Amino acid sequence: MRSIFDDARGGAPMDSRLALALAAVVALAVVTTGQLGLVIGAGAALCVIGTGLILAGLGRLIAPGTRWFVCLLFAATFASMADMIGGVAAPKIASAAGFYLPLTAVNCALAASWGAFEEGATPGRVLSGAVKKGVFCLAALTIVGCARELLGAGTLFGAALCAGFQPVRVIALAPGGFLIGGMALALACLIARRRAAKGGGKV
Amino acid sequence: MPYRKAARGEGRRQGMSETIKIAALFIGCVFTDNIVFSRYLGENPAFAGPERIRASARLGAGVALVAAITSIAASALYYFVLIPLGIEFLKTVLFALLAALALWASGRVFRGERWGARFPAALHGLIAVISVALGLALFGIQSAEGFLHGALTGVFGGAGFFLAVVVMAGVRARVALSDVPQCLRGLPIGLISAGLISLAFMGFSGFFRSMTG
Repeated sequence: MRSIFDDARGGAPMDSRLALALAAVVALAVVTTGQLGLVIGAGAALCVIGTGLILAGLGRLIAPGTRWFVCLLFAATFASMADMIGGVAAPKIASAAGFYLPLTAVNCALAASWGAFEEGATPGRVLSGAVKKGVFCLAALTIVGCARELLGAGTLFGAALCAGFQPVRVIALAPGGFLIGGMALALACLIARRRAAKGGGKV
Repeated sequence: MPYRKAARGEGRRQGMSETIKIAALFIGCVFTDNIVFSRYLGENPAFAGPERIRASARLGAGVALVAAITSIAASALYYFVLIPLGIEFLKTVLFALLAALALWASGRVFRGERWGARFPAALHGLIAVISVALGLALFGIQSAEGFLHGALTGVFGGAGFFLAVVVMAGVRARVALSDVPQCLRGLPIGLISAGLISLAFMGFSGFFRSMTG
C-alpha cells in the first residue's frame, strides 16, 4: 500500500534543482524587496552550507534509517542560528521576514541534502554541492526580491530608479510572487532549452 | 440582580467575540489568507503533487492531520514550557522535531512501517510536510494570542491546505489537456495558475469584511 505521503513526490520525476526551487518558493510570501531577498537568501545559504559541511564530515556515520531525521535536526539548528544572526545584523528586515527566515532555511537545507548520501558522494563533492546550492538560494531570492521591488514599487534597494514609473501593485502582493516565480522558472527553462539545442545535447 | 444580569451579558458578549474570532480565524486560514495561495506554505505537494484528485485529497488529508497534531503540540510546548523557562529561541528546532515525530507517527499509523527508512524517496514528502507543519506551528505562535489560537491555526490551516491541494489537482488535470507552450510546462504554469487562483481568493477578503462590517 502506498503511503499518503508518497504522493507528495508527484507523477513526474523531480531533479535536485527543481526541489531546491520549490523549497525556496516559500520565501516569496515576504520577499517583496531586494533587501528581504538578500537577508532570507543569506540565511538559507548559511543553513545549506552548514548542513552540507556536517553531512560532508559525518554523512557516512549516520545510520540509513535516521538520515532524514538527522538532516532535519541539523537544518533546524542552523536555521535557528541564521534567525538569531539575522535578528542581530538586520533586526528590522529579520522582523519583517518573521518565521519565513528559519522556515525557508530549513526547507532549502533539506532540499539541498539531496544526493548527500548517494553512492560515490565524497565529502568534497557534498561540500562543493552545498556551497553551489547555497549561492543559488542567495542569488535566486535576491534577484526575485529585486524584480518584485522594481516592478511593484519602482525602487531598487529602497532607491527610486526613474520618476514617473507606474508600479504594478499586484506584483508586491501574494499573487505577484507566484506570477514572478512562474515567469522566472519559464525563462530559466527557455534558456536551458536554447543552450541544449545549441550544444546538441539533451534538454 | 441588575449586577448579575450585566455580568451575564458581559460573559455572553465575550463568548460571542471569542466565537467570532474563531470563525474569522477559520475563514482567514481557509479562504482569505489561505496557507498555500497567500502564505506560500506547502507548495511542493500543491504544485508538484499527483494529478488525480483522489490521491491529492488523500495527501491533503494526511498533511493536514500532521500539521494539526504538530500545531497543537507546538503551541502547548511554546506557551507552557518555552515561555515560562525563557528558552523561546529553541522553538524552530523543537517544532521541527515535533513535526518529524508527528510525521513518523502518522507514517506508522497509515502504513505500518518506518516511513523514514527510504531517505531519497522520502525527501520530497518530508519537505512538503515539514513546510506545512513547521510553518503553521511557527505562524500560530507569531501573533502570540495564546494556546487556543495557535492550536486552531494549525487545524484550520490544515483544512486550507486540503482545499488548495484539491483545487491545484483539478487545475493540473485541466492543464494536462491543454496545449501549453514548452517552456511553461510543469511548475511554471502551476505557479502562474496559482497566482490567478490567489487573485480570486483575495476577493474573499472584501466579501468577509463587508459581512462583518
